[in-house]
Amino acid sequence: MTIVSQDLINIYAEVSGDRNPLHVDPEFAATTPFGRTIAHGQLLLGIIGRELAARWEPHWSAAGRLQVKFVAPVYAGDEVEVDVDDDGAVRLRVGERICVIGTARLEEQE
Amino acid sequence: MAEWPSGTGEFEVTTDAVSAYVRATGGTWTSGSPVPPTLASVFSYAAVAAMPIKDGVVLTGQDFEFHAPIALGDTLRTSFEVTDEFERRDRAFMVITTRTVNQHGDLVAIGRITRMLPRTERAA
Repeated sequence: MTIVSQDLINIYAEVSGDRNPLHVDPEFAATTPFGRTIAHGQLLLGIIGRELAARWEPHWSAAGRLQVKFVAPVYAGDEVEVDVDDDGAVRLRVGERICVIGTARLEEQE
Repeated sequence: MAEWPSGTGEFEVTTDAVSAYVRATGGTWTSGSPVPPTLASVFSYAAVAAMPIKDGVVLTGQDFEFHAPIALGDTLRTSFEVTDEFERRDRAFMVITTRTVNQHGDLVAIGRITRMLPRTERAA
């Protein structure tokens, strides 16, 4: 479980250079259809990546394949869980709300 | 799709860059651990920052293929180009493909970023 706090989002904005106000400016975000700040999709991908690395390194870095779609926002303060099924299906969710879906696998190595 | 720019960007894989990335994704970096290949999110984004449209763009999908481990001290060079444009439910989307090599010329990662464009932009 990871808490996606506004602090974490702000740190990701600095590290990535993606300072889109939708992520870092609550006043601006309040004027958008989201109503409040949301996490960067790439931050969520990084959280998923930690789970996959724990499972598959040292092969993950050299042969990992990951495909994700961002289907619902994660808001500042949300607690996210990552599920990885045996068939490689990946989900990142906030409670029952699924926010990222995808697949992960290792390419066959020679 | 010739109206969109293509380009390249360079990224130095420093201990600071890696530890900051790991912290920013909720983890803790310990020296000697593998560099997370999803650092590709950062160096791909840095290269693609040369794209002209930014405001109102929404990331809807990201694929990565990791081909070689990233090491501290690497200099990574990412090239990008717009490889697809399509329209769905009256919204325009684009796919940007990134390709990253290290200083030895080894392929490190290929990425495909799918973005939904602001309503004012139309697909080709």
